[in-house]
Amino acid sequence: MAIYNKRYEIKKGKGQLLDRIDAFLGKLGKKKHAIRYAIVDVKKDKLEIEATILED
Amino acid sequence: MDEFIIAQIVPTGVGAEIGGYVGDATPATNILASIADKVIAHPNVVNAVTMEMARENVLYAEGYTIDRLFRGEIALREVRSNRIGVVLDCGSEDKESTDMAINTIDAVRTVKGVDVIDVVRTEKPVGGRAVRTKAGAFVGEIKDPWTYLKPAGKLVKEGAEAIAVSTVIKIDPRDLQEYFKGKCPNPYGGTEAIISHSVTRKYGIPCAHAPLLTKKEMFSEMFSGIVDARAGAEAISPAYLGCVLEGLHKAPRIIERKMAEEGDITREHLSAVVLPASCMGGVPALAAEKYGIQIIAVEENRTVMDVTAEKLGLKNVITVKNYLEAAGVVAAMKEGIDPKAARRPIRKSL
Repeated sequence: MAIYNKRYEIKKGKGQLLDRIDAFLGKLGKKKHAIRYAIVDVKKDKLEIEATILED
Repeated sequence: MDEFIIAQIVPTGVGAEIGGYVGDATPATNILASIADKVIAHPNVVNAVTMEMARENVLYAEGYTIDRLFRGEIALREVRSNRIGVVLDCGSEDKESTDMAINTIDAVRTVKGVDVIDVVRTEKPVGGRAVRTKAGAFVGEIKDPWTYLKPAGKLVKEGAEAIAVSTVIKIDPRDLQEYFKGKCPNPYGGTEAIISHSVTRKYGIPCAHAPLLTKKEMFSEMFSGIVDARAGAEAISPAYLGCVLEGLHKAPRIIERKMAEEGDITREHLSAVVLPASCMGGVPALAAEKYGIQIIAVEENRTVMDVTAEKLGLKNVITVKNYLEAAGVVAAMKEGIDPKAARRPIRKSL
């Protein structure tokens, strides 16, 4: 088990940001859990997310 | 009518002008708490080394817990007190570090009557380290969380209802000096958050972290000259466990949503969340937007971030200049008065 931070980019898109980010981070794999995240940068059509990942 | 409950969030490690040091968001939080019936705040908002001066109606809830509350996954149940277990990192070779921690625990036990059931040392150093991001904020990294999760589990089996973890965090001394001058975010916060998040996630009980300083760090902090006023509490004492034990003493218990009973606090009880205007990218703000909880964005609480409601297209936001104005909005909301009715110009109905 380890805990580290990683940045991801997702498209801004439509719909609730909470749902979209949860859906994206939910696809990281069974062993990776985003225990904390925040949008850290907002670009024209993308969002940069910094997540703290707990990896089993 | 239900109680008027709000959340007060100041993200850690982002250099918040108010709350980015040690307990310096306490006055603003207490002003909000003098109006709201309850304020849910995470430890970093009110932790001030030996002092935890939040009003009685400020509920001390770890960040991961607050995220889950906003998602609707859990409820919070107020308690008279918690039995607390302490995990102490073996990573400092200095006897003075352990002596300071134990003396702090004993001080809180004997002066405040906090029930600390046991202190367990890690078998290996936790080895946490602070990492500075591109944005200038601080996050943390832990190679092996089991170093503190295992002793935390032992304490839970012994009956601990809350866990305090005190570890050595590797910080670049230059960052620390810059922090004391008020020129950089608190380097500890990000690492502390991930430690407490992971304990709460694993065991479902309140947790908070206190840095464990080496003898050299203790000396350096206490004799740094006159520091930024907001870091004053750190310059007078290295007894960080004090505020954490005081906070965990009455931290609300975490109840799975389906087990919530009358009197427990759920997402549906939250009327507003107060946040720095440049930090709208976390779960509380995004969930508040989704579930219609009023967001109050405080402009004066500048941070190194630039993630505003406008950039994210959040609609459910009242932007205020400072926490005094935020308090006014909270007072209006509690009375059922539209805050806009006290401002000019006022929108015409037709």
